[in-house]
Amino acid sequence: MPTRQIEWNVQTLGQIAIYALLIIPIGFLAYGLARRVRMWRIGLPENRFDQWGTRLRGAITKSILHGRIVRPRNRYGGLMHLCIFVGFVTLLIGTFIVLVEDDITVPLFHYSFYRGNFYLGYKLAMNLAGLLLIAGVLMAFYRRLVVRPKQQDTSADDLVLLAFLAILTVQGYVLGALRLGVQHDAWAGWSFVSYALAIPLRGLSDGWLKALHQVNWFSHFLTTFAFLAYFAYSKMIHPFTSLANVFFRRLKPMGELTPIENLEEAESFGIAHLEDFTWAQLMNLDACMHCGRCLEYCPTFNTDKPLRPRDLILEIGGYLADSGGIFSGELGEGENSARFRWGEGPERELIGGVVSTEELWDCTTCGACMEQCPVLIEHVPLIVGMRRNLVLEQGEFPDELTNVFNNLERLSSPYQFPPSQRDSWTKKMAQPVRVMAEAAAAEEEVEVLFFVGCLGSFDSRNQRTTMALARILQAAGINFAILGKEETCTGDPARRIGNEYLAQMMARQTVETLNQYSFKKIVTACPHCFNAIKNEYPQIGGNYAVVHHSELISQLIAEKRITLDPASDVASGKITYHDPCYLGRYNKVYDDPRSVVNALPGAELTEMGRNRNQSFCCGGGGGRLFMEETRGSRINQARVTEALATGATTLAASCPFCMTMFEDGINGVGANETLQVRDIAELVAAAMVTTPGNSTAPEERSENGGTGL
Amino acid sequence: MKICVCVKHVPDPNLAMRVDPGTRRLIRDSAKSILDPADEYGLEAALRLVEQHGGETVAVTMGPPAAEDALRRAMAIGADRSIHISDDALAGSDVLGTARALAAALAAESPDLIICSTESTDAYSGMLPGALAALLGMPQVTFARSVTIEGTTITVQRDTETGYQTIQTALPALLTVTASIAEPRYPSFKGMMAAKKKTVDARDVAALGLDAATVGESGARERVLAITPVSQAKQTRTITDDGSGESVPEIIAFLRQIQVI
Repeated sequence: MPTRQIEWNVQTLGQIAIYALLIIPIGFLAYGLARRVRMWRIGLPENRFDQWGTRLRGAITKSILHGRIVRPRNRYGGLMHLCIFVGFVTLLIGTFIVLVEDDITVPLFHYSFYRGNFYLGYKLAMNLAGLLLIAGVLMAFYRRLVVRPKQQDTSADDLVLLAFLAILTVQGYVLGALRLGVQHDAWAGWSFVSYALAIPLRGLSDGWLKALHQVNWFSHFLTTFAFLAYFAYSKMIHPFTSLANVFFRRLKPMGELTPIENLEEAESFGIAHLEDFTWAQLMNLDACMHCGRCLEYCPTFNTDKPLRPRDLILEIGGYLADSGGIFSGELGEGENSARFRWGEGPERELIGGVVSTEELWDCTTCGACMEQCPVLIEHVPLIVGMRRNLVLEQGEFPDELTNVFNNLERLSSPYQFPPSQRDSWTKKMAQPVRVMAEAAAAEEEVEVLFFVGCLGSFDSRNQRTTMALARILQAAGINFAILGKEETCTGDPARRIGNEYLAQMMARQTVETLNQYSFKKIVTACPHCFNAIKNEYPQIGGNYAVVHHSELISQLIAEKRITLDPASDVASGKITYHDPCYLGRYNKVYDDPRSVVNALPGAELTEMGRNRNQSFCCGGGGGRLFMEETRGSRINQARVTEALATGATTLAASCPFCMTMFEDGINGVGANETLQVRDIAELVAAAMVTTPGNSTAPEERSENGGTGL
Repeated sequence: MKICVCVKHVPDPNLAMRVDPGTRRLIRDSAKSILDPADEYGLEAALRLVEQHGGETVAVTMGPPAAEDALRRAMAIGADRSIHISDDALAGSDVLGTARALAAALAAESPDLIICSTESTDAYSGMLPGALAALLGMPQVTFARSVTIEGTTITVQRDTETGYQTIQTALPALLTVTASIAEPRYPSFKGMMAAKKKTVDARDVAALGLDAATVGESGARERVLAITPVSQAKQTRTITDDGSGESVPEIIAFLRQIQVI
């Protein structure tokens, strides 16, 4: 019956020695893992122990079944990982099978299963697994050494680990080949790789083969031990840390930042020390295996700014490891590049020492890093946490923000316009626009509350979008009203800038105003307002049905409540659509705006290379709209250049922040003649069949020039 | 070194200001009033001098109880403590009456330096600093754009129409500052919380040893006779450029003409 003698050609003494030695690498592994867990425990408490079923399902589908790893545009890396994963796990299981046979079932129960068809299938599977593993490792070497994508930095650690995998697999094959050279099993063909390797060994004597086998056997085990010992001190720890990170992932909406509770009683604010992270955030740091996917669509990395989300995570991870022990395998600049260190790292401050303030302020909070991360690391909350400390505790932030904060505090808007001018755009409308307070006083019912937002209210360019949307609502006969002078900032920019105090003040004010009135739903043309109302207001008792205008307009067109003039040439020709981060990535609205664009007469939607969840930020989120862009090249110009490359003459936007950034970006690259940016509401309003009395006074009649900043 | 900064609680200049036609006084809605943005420059200058030389910064104001908000803000930004002169008898004070009350409180502090804004953002009289300096018998340097202190000597660059003068005088002195002296900081939330615990010393007419007849409505020698709205003449000039930049010299000439550059 097909089988083989386990530990053939190895003396009992050697076997005992190997088992005894095994304690050492296992000790290293256990200590390394325990040390990481112990470090996480210095973090603040955070409940990630609910919904076990959802957590388990996610860990299986996202990680083990590779749902999060093999993804569109990450196929090469994904398949590479799948090869290594399947190969490695199969070989690991195979090793355990032998262990079970040799150390449990045979000695304890005198039962052997390692024979017959099982044995043949096992041999076939193991030989195949080895090939998969080698294929994956070769793919990895090819990418690291030949292709060298710019988002991938290669450290010694990366190469050492790949070499380990390759050597271990080859050793396994050679072991089989040497044994087959002596034993000539009739079923040797099932171990087809070892069998093929045994052919050139035929000339060697049994003595030589046995000697070589022994050398190889011991070196295979020693290599395994070295690998095991190294495991927990390199990125190879990721099967543990990444799986834990995916399992204990945050189950709240991506667009919801956790507020600081009881701000007035807090003694410190945000993140300035390791103790200020939650344990789950510290686990985040150790889950990173340096793949660099977070950089692929990152606006700061791709415009040569200091912030690289991967390095940010690794730098703080290195800082976490500074507390002592063996440490290796982190990437980073200068002081922060810590590889193979024994003992404590240098004394450093987190902000200013480990992470520069430039890195923290450059982030647009676009979420491309989080969307891309295969192990669900959450970079943006970490950055906002450190910004909170800078703003609330240290009073350190870019000078441009002083006015923004003062304006928010006094005028409830980032702009220096008095609240009395919030509804000034309504004067330019042909049909009056109702105001909520008046409707309520007259006891009129209002179905839809149009939340205009600060940019749509005060910024002359975005007022055109506001008026276009109001015209669409009027044309569709929707019963709507605005808050008018009562409207206040939702708090989104302040929250993402890190001014949690102002953010909470704004949010409370807005919720208080909204709760005075009754309406069925809110519509807004601003994804930032949309995200705050939808995902963050429930935190403070504001529960509303809110839709983005793209969703509403798409529905109105589908229901034929507005009709587009087939002769309209407003968007004839190629048109490309830009996904705003806070609409797309954060709230998964990708199709409605596209169906609006597709409904435009004569429009031919052409996608930019980076679209939908892999869209590229305009550069205006996270309060960046209000800050100078002083480092690297311009994010908005990079995106405009990409839009130009599609050959489109119209860039469709659906966010006032994007609108402002793109108007500026188009000017910046001097493309005013070739590309126009229009909000989807403007396009629809311009293409709409208008009934008499439904037209608007000339939109050029703008009284508020400039942004008032 | 002790620096006293005179501050004022004024209606938010970004909001429409209204005057009561009967009393001919500004309608002050305390909910919409703030620390005068013009005072933030003097406060910033004081904080930087104290950071450099050590000592303390004291914010001083005269006004109704709600004016304490301005002092809290000043302390949130960084003032160490403050003095609030408040008394019903002070209502309706003119510049001289206000200066008498402030001077009495400031004299008791014997500061090395007093900093005022050039003029307040609500009334714009611009006369108070001079009156204070006269009452306190201190040298006054106006329109300071930068200031350095060595020992008891203060050196000030003073903005003029055409450039600046460098003036030196001995401390104690009184300074009025312009917006170019320093970019004011925004208070951290921690600062706002800390400001709640800082001291505000209350002073009334009796505590200051003032003769009630010399201050307030009764002591006022100024009278507002009439308030007339200014018709906002819109002087807009449009210069169109086709993108070639040909109009740049014209724009520069215009800006020179109106003395902006």
